[in-house]
Amino acid sequence: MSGCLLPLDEVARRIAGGQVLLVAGSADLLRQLPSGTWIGGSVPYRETGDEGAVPRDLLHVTQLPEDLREVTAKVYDATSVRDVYADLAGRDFGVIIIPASSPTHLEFALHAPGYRGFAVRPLVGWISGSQLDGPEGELASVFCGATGEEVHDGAVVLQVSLPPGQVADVGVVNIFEQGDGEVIAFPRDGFDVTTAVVDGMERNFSDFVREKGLDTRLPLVADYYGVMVNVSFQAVDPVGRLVRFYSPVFAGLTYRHARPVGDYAARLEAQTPSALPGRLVFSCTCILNHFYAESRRRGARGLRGPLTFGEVAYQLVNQTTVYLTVNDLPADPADRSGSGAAGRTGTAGTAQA
Amino acid sequence: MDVPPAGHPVWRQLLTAGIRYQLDFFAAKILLGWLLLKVDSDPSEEMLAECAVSLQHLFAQNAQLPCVQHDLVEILGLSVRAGTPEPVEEVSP
Repeated sequence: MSGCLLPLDEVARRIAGGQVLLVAGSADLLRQLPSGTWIGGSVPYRETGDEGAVPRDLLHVTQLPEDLREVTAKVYDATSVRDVYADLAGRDFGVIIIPASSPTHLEFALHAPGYRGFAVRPLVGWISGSQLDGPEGELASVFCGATGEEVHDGAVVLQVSLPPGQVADVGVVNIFEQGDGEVIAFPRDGFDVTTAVVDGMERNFSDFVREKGLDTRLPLVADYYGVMVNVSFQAVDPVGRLVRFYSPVFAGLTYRHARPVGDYAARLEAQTPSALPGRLVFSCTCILNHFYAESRRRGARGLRGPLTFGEVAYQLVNQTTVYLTVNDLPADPADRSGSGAAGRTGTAGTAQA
Repeated sequence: MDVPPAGHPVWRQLLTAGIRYQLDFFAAKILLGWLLLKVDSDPSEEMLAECAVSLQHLFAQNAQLPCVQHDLVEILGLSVRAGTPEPVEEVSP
């Protein structure tokens, strides 16, 4: 299990006791937590275990292992966030939280793969959000427990060093793969799209989506050397003839609309690994999976992390469950030959359709 | 298995040969997705060298991972079978 729901006073007690925590919940509760080694982000909806109920008086808490060698929390802004990977040099992994729709979110989403040291160390995390039916203009927040800062535009990162002989791996549960439909490309990077090149023909993408009757619960999918990366639809505006996504599309990549998945919830359950390679440390799940699976039950097979407006698995991804495990390295170098099944155990990778 | 230096042709082969290796290392696949895009838009020697350094650095920094060792066997094995020549230069990362 990677997390649980706790009342404010219990979370405060754990922080005071020195636990290293990732905390998700309402900003009102997060503001009341004491200083300590924790980072947090606002999330409007949480897995509850009870059909339909969302306990606004509870916080989702992920406790990191107690035997960590070193932990440092750092706050970035929209400019310094480009150092996030380089700053993990010498560490074993990082956890990042970024407020949705902030300039830092846009900057990270569009440019992270070009940052120095990209992907050299595992980076996982989530995009925090605000209540969907909350007050107009309510901003998503992230919190740094070490400094007491609440940030609406920035990112907070927990940089973690593991004990010797341990290594962190990133995994992604993605139920989508590219369908057999049109090949779609975009002339420029961005979250908002007007023009696309569909099977070689330039046209308005909003018109295409509506004419084809695309099911916008299913994302566009790009193939990154065998890793399927989703771009989820946020809105199709027929008046402005604009399509908005939860993560950017990139010029040069080719996309296809995802193949239908049938029973969404059943597919999610089936794609979630029954046994993880190592000890589960963290997980988070896209809020769209939560809605489209028409389920507010607990996350599949122990992946009970916070609900997100985007996940980070090295880079921003969508409509997935992202998890991080910690594994013991083989003591004998000969065991690391990689041949056969043993070499694949503990592999960071994807569980895909 | 040791990670070949950035000047080893195996990295360039990953970026240009059009062969889809069966890699296990998630970070390498994500990075390769981006590097192939860069090389596609700018196939210059300078860009190939820069991308080869990035790729080699990722593998070198994670050489202890079983999945990286698996991928090295995959990459170098196919490279040998494809008759890739020995490296002619070594580029510092």
